[in-house]
Amino acid sequence: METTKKHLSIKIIYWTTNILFWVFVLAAILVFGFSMGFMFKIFDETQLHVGIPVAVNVLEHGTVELNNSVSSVEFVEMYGKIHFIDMPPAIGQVYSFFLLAVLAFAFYIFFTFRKFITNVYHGVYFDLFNISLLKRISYALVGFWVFSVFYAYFQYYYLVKNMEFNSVEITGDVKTSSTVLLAALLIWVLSHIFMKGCKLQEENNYTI
Amino acid sequence: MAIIVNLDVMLAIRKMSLTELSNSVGITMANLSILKKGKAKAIRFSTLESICKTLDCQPGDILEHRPE
Repeated sequence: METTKKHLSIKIIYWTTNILFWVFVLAAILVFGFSMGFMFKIFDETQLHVGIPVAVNVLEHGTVELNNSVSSVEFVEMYGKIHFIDMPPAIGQVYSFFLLAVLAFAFYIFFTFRKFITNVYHGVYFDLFNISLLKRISYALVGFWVFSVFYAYFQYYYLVKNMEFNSVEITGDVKTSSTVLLAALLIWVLSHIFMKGCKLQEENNYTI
Repeated sequence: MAIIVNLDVMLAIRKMSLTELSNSVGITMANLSILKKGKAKAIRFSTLESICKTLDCQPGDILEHRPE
């Protein structure tokens, strides 16, 4: 292992990742318990908030003050959550399954990233194991993105299509985000840069 | 590789050990061993110069091209 002086940014990222990881583990244990409660119908009177992936058309008049002049505006579209006042246990079971899946993805990505950043902190940069970790993170992120798209469409067909409200109109456009996919692509490219770095490192090690 | 390192031959001719060469050239034994075994991917001019100076020889005495 190299014994080079650690850069401040690496130290900050390393300690922040470690602290956040353990906070995440504690939160994950609570979420796991909560999901199990839903799954085995332990919680009877739990109220549930679920974010919906489609826009809602609303029409609300208002004003906005900009540069000392007041303009009339209308609030026309919004995204939000629905609140189950009396939640059927079956709904809780369905959402607890999704919660557990998200938890598994998040834990795997966080755990792998922590391993990577620990290696970097200890001066191991261009190593085959690091490349493998970066690739694993990018594949997990792609998996998570596919899952989130599936979740959005599932919610649309399972929940949103069966909803009816008096004063708001629900649109049919399912909102999916490609940020996670872009992050996955970026990390995948980074793994290839590390691969090149690994080859250069090997060449440097065998240059006398 | 088509480039053969004849360091052991030159050491034998000069009756010098690898440890002596390591001390006088200032290269670690591990690196000299990599060079001697032909595992090295490149050699710096400064290293070649130091070895030639110590062994009183030419680069061609240490390196040889043998087509595969």
